[in-house]
Amino acid sequence: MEEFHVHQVYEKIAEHFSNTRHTAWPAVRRFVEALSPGSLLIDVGCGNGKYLGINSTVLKVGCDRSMNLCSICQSRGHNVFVCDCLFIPLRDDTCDFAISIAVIHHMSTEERRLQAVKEIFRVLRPGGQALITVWAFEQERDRKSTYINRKTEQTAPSSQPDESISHIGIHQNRTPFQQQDVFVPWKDQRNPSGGGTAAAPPPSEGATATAPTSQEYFRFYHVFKEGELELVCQQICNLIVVQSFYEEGNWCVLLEKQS
Amino acid sequence: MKLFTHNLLTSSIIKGVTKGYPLKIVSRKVEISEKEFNPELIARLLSRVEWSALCEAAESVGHGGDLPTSVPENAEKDEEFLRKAHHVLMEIEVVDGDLVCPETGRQFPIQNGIPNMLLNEGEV
Repeated sequence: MEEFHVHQVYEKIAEHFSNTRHTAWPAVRRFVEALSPGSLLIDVGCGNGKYLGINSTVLKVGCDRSMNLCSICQSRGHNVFVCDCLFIPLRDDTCDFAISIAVIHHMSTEERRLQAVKEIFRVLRPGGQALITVWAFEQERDRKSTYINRKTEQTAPSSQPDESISHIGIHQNRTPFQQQDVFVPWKDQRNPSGGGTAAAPPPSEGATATAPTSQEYFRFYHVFKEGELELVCQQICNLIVVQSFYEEGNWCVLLEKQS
Repeated sequence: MKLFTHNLLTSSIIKGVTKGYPLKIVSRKVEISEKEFNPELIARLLSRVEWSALCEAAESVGHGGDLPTSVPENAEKDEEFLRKAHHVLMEIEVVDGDLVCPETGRQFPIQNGIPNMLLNEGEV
């Protein structure tokens, strides 16, 4: 699932995606800015390196599944490597801090989502802390949500031609989520001839994420419900949930590895 | 890839590998560039660095000559030492090469300064 509906899509849209990702989420910015000088921070799923440029007193390293996104980080002078977040090539107990911002919601099964949190936890040193954020199912909790566009008329979610992924709806951007497992469309703005308003349904398993002439991509998301991320964390021994909160359409957990 | 980054990386994520650290470096293109020296940062970083792995890495890219074999006493006040450490950790960039698993010999390519640590299906 993730190869076609996450990894390949991000490689194709990397530059455009990077151009739309310039504002740091406030809670993440605050977290990174408060880290003690000389600490080591890893950004798991660092994307275009948005958070790697904050707080020059902290040593930062980023990793991402997308080579194209890592290249953007590299060109900005950041330390990065390509890896799968389920297999982070660091020894146990290495990092003082970790962040993983808007990453784990791309994992297509509960097991993989748990494995992703476990892997971040593994590389933290005892006493270390990690901030994880995921997209929330509940988009209008604090009125500040800039995601929902109230003028967008909600249509019924389309169904899939392929039965094996028929439970996953195509989400309509800027409307409330109808279900937790969704494909979220991304229109590649670099192609002026592409798009239109009709969404091309994702092809069946075994094909690539896009038809050759289509400029619309579908990213898989599992949006989290209230308390769900905490439940994942609570399955891990010696993990303390220090803080759990909602900010601008995201569920966030600050966790600590017991020393 | 800076040697600071290399100092963190391991191949022990490969199924069955127990000794994946430190990775060997095979370099094809190395660049040196000046980076701002922050003695406090380097001093704090020292406790997180595997010094012998760093020396080995510096040696393998041809820049190991100057480094002591172990971190000296009161290193945090030793500016000359901190400058050497800074140079090796932050100013040497392996742009093109491979990282090699010490146990299996499996190569991870470094291209454009970015190590690619993705595993194949059989390795997980």
